[in-house]
Amino acid sequence: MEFRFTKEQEEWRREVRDFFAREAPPELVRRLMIEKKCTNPLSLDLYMKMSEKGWFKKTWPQDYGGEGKSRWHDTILTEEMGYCVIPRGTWNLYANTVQFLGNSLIAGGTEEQKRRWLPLIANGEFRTSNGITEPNAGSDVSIIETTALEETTAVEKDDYFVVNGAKIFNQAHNAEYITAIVRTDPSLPKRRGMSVLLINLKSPGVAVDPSLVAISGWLRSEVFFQDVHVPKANLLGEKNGGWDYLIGEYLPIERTSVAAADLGELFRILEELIEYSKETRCDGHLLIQIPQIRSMLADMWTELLASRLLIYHTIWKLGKGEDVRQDANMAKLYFSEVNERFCNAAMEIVGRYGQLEILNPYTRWLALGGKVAYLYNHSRVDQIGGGASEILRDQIAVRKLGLSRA
Amino acid sequence: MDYGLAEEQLMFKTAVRDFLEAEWSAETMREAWDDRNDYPLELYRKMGDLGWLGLLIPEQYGGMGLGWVEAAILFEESGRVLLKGPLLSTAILGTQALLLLGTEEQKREMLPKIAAGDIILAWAYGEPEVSYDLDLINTKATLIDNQFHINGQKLFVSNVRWADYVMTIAKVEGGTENTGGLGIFLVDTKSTGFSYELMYGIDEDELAEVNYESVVVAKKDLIGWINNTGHILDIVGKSKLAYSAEMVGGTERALEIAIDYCKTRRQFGRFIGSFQSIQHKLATVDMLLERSRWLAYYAAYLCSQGINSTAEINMAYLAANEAYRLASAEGIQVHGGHGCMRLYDIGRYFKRAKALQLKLEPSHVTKDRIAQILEEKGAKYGVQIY
Repeated sequence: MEFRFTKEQEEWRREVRDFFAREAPPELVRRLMIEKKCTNPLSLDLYMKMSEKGWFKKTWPQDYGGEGKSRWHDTILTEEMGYCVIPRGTWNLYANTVQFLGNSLIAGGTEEQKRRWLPLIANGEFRTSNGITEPNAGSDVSIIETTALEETTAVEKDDYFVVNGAKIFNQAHNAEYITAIVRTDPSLPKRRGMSVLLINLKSPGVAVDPSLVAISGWLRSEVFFQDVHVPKANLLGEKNGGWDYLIGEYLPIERTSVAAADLGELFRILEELIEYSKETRCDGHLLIQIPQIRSMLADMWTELLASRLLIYHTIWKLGKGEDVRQDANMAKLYFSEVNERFCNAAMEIVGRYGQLEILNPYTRWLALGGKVAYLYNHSRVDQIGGGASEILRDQIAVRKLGLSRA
Repeated sequence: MDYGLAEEQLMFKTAVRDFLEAEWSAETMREAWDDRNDYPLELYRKMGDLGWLGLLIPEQYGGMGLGWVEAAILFEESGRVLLKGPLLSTAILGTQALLLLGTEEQKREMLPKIAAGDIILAWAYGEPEVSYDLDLINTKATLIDNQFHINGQKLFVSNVRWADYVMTIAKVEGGTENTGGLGIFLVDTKSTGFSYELMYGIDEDELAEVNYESVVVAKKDLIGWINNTGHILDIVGKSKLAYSAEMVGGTERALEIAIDYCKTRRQFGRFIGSFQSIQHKLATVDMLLERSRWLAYYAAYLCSQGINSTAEINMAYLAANEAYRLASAEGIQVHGGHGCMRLYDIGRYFKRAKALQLKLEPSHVTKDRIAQILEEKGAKYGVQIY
């Protein structure tokens, strides 16, 4: 047992932290948020700067221009994105493109796909967004309605799929591609007839509507496909093997990544809350002197540490090549609920100041720059995105504990 | 024992619901939320025409002379539909301040106007560093040449932009035997030296930082007399009852929205409402709703009977907070990704639930108030503990 990072990994953390402090200082992000009336500015710029640093290929094998670092490099980077409170759109691009697509290409892509896309992913030119959820298919991915049926044209080399349907709640407005799960064979059982396609969002027949605003202020897109031609070379994994592709590595990585990023952010908020409590007076006491607030802070720290250990456990097992599906489910389930408790407690601690919206032009009284209210508005999202808690509990009960399905 | 509403109360409830359905549709509500300049003043005046703003005002002052159960009904219904406006600051805080402390002349002058909706009042209480403890208030009212000069700063005052007067709680200084006592001053929002900066709450409510620089207030605009900390606490306590009822209404509606969605959304070949994991959530919410409803109405009943009910109001307030927060959070959960989007109303309920609570105080402060009563009064308190 050794519950600590290597010296090199600690140095990597410092490098990342310095970079974000330089490139996305909180004051700049705040100013842009207010100027652009958007809680997620700078996402793309920052992503491109990260690519210039060569960070996206750190964990890839040397054959593909990488440095062969362990998954912990990835984890540390993800945690720091949260800890440095950089615009979350950057994380979204990184998670979908580098963590999900990059890793899965290396693990299971064809040689041609690797040679074609990995260099473009590394330099930031190739960015993809998540394409699982549809308006009518949320927790139940098996009922996706987006179809991709094969058509062969007269010209031999131009084999392609014709895609029709819609994908929702993604970041397509910041990306060139969407990693979409689509139905390729309606005659097979639901989970067997699906495939994963990389669809170019510039293709004729694709419409991106970036008009969905989340209650936390994030912008999300809905993407519509009408007779979109997608080359067969853009098929990821096996044809009709999309389900296994998703549940194999994609979803566990998504779940640990979202948890790690949000965890980093909450650690930062906890640190700032402690400072805030030490210098803020309320009715004659410093907040830190109020027993109920001390009790809340202690709970918050305990729960963050426990979350971190569950998340790290999953990543450790993933690195050993073991099946981590239920570990990832549990880490994400636990953390997402910690997240809500934490944000609620943070609102209780800052009290009246917590009710101010982050985008207020008059900022003098915002607690922690409005971050507490912003995170509170966002605090249910983790219990839904990347696998709703109900689904995760169900899977743990059935697949780990061996209970029968209701 | 009778948990039921009287026939007139039921009719009143129906009348309020019908009125709000007609005047404050879901579309109107969304517009008012999204466009911060929009404020339902017209609707507010209509409520005055119907007499509802004067619900708690005795008939001799132009009101309806009804009680707290009726007030709870009005707030429960307005909570259901996320009504915005100066109802609470004017019809509860303003009315209570005048009834408890006002001179006969002030009552005759102000109460009929409140009842008719001709006057809007805001309530300025908290300050930087002073959130919940009245003894520490820093805003000063200095008596000079028979006039008060007010200096200080108040935070998170709602409705300032529309208010005729801001009821300002200030500590009195100079030339009076009441130095150090608290008074509620009616500060005309057009006064010289009065200014404010607007901020926005997560529920899109306007919250102001209000600044007073030697704002002159005539002696007649001091509500009643000085040195009435207990009364001010009582007035704020009464507003907590209105907040509780509003939260009960919000909880009830959030639960209905979640149930409706469960019955139309299909996943795994079934309506999601047929899954136990969803059913159990909603059953828990319903249990918390019932708990908060009866605590709120019990407290309202005690108020109507003139029984000291500070503890019960605080309990109702805590329970309503918890129910509303969970109802709206689970409501989002049931909606899945859609619930996280502004297109659906459930997210507005989620924000409103927390904002309504933080306008007054976080739960540890409320719990402390209950504990204080237990400590001080023990079993001798009003209606006994057991």
